[in-house]
Amino acid sequence: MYRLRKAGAVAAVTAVMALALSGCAPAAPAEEVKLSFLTYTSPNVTKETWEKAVADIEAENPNIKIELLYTPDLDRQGYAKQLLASGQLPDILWDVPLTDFVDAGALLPYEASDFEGLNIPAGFNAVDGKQYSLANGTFIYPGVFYNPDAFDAAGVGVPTTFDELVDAAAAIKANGKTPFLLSSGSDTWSTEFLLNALVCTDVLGSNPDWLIQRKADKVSFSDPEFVKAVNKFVELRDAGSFNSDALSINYSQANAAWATGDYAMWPMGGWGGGVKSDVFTPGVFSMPTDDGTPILPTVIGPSLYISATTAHPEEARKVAVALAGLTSLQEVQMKNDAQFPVIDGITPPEGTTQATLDGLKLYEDKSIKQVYGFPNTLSGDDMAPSGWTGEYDKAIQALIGGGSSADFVKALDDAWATLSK
Amino acid sequence: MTHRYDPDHASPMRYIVAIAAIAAYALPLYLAIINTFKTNEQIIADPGGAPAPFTMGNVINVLTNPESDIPPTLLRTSLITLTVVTLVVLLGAMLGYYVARHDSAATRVLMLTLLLGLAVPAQVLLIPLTQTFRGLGIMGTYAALIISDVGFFVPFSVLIFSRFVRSIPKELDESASIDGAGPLRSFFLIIFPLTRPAAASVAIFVSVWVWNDFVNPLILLGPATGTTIMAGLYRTLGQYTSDFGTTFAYMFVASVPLLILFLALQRSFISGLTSGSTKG
Amino acid sequence: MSKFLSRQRLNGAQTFAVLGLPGIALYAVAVIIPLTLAIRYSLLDFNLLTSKGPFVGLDNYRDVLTDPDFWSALGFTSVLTVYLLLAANIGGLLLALLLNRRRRVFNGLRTIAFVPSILSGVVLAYIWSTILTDKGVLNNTLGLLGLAELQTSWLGTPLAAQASVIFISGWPSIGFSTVVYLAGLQSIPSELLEAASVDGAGPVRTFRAITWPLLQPSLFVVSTMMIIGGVKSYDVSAVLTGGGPAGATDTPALQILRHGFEENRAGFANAQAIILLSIIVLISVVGYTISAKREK
Repeated sequence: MYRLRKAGAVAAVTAVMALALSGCAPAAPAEEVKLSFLTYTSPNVTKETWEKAVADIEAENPNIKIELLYTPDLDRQGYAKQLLASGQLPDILWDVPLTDFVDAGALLPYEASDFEGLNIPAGFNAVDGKQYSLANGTFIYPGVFYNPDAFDAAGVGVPTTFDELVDAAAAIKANGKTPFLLSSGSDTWSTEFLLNALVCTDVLGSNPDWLIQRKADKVSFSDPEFVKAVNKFVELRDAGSFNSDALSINYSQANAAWATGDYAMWPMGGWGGGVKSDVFTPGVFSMPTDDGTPILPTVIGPSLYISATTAHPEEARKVAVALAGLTSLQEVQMKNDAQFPVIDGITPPEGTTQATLDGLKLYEDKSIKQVYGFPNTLSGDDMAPSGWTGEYDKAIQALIGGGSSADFVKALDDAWATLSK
Repeated sequence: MTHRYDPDHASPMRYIVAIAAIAAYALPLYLAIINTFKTNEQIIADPGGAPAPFTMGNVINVLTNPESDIPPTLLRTSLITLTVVTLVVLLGAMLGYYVARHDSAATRVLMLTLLLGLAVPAQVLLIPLTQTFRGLGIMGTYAALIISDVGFFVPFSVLIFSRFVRSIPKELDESASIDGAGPLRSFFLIIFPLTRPAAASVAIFVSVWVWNDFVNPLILLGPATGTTIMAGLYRTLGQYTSDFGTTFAYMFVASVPLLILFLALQRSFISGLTSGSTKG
Repeated sequence: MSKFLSRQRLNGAQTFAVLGLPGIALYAVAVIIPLTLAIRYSLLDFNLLTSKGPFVGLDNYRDVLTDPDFWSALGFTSVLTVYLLLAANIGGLLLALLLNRRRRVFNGLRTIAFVPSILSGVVLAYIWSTILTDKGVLNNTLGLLGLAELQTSWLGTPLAAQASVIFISGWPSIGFSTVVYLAGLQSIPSELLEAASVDGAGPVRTFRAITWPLLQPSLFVVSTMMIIGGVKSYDVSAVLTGGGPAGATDTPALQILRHGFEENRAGFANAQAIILLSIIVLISVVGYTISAKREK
């Protein structure tokens, strides 16, 4: 009840602000303002979802017309860069590479009041004290999705320590199922999630600022704690825990494979919780640590940005803030994309998957330590140099193919040095 | 016994071997076609099997789905391709005729400069091309896409037409010239109509390239201008759908127009491949 | 138009302006100006997002030439191009000889052979991925034929993935060159071949003495297209393997896009582009010289 009241208060504040803003506008308040909004569509979040969200906002703001534009693929940041480079940046943007864009002077900052009612850590993603990104959700990044039936059939429970995970993988393999589902193929980005999970527990668990220190060259990938995480990966690989086609299937094919129920565990970003199966009900746990203390890696999801070249900065900001706080949008994103809302008062809509509900429980459990997921691919001070994650994925492919830990960490350090020049 | 050459006669053995060879060669096409008419479940379970049950569902789904917006996209892509092909054929034929009939050091340098264009990978030009079009103020318009395609494929067209025109006797121009026709008149009224096979070759090649390109439309048209069919297909693949039936149907729908064009122009296309080139 | 077609004589410059200039102008806008810009960017530490960057001389070129990934991608692309040349010319010629009959069935087969050439790289790669994934059609078929020991991860091990990308890139080329060689074969005057058979020449001798020399233009067309297509190739790798595993199927064209856009190293990417272009030009000039000598 308290939550609902708070949400109501936020709505009221927004409405007052909206009035104040329109009051500021000179003489003709009915003058139509056209804004373009670049976002994405997927089978989960369709054009229809966005059209409804935009219609809601237009109804609240009769003088604003929003033109919806969509990125051509999931490489939203890459496309945003190309649009900036070719001088075609829309007014409001979903997900851009923050630091590159700030360096290019392409973004307008938000004001502190814009964050009222949003559960985002203070100063999150600030660049030189200014906040350019307005997030609208959070993901587990990564989680280990699992098939409870495969564990039951092998007579093992959900592991709480890494040793138990190793034993469970062996038992599952002995029972005829594949312990881990990994993918790569044309979707090289999808290669990394098992190692990401291990790095989160072994490296970030004790040192959440590890990537910032890496940027300052205070630590390196050949340091023992990072090598330890890599060795765990190699241990699982050498035990034959991975699907043999890990390197050849792409993400779509992995989705289809996961739904077959032939695999016990699928390390993936939180959105993997939206994948359903006819033969089993997936759940999710976070990668177990050595001593069993749970650590949950999460990332704040893609954010809304305002282009510096917009002709209507005030209105663009207003629309972005309204989008970030839009209940109907957050419900769809929760149900279909397993994204957790950053505003209060959202209850999981009907049809939300069990894995998403499991994840939400972990996320809301304040006794579980949360770390910011590795590697940060969205934004912020701990973001790896542009292009590094591509090299990271490539190196993991070599690791899956039988490469050594030593070669792997050397490749990561070399790529980091080349790309941060 | 001597070997008798007879191009109109084929032994049964030749029939069998030829059909078997092309069947083996075309096996992947067969897969693509059958999967277009299968349910998604059957594609996952049995990608190589014949459709059971046969379904038009995927094709209907793709054609009517407002998310993919295919009918207008097909129309738009056809118009862009048609415009580019018309310009490439016309400008290439004119320039090719000029080069073929004015052999000098200057035209040879021009020809070499054009050949350089054939060797340039399109990716090389993309970044600076956007800068050029920004300067001209046409980024994000169909004009940008059409100008870049026409300019990029003109060298190929010139190459084909200049070779072809050289195989046309000069006496034809000269007799026209005696009749009082200038070079333009003799080109448009006498030479151009004779270059039909070369035009068909250029039209097929350029249509295939323009139709199938998905990088240039994504960037040069930008997000606010309606996109082309292959860029749309690329978007569908980028959405990580496990709905393989719809994807196969999309590919089918996106490829059939080119197939129809090829069937229509096939005869001229094939004679165009050699008529110009037999002369070297 | 009517003025162009009038009987009024145009002087040389006017003829050039009407016939030549429109094509050259568009070519200049779409190719020459951007190419000049690309050369300029390759000498800068160019930032794509701000369109600026300090002059760094030939540093980018040195970085590209000392980048092992560039050389391995170039090596892979070279092997691919050589395969395209061999597969298209040998496979295409053999199929063309087989199909060289003026019968309806053979014309139909020729049409089918050409279909892969009109499909986009995206479509080709997607079709082949259903065949080549570990549980795909190829491994299933091998299993059914009792050839399970031949099953492998066609896209998942570096060597097999390279072989797959090379083979798939060559697949449409074979049908394309079949049609080109068929056109060449069918343009050979039949009197020549009949005369040869009357003289008692066997098929092999006829081929060597008459057919093959007259097919030189087809050889030239096919080889040119294969070299240009091979060196530029990127879409099969992009859609089938993403350049992997571990960079095994990376091509220079793929790297140019990645360095330029993903890694914000547009200067480096442009230097790589200019180097790639120089290589293509060099091959073309050598090929053109050889072919010109032969024709004499």
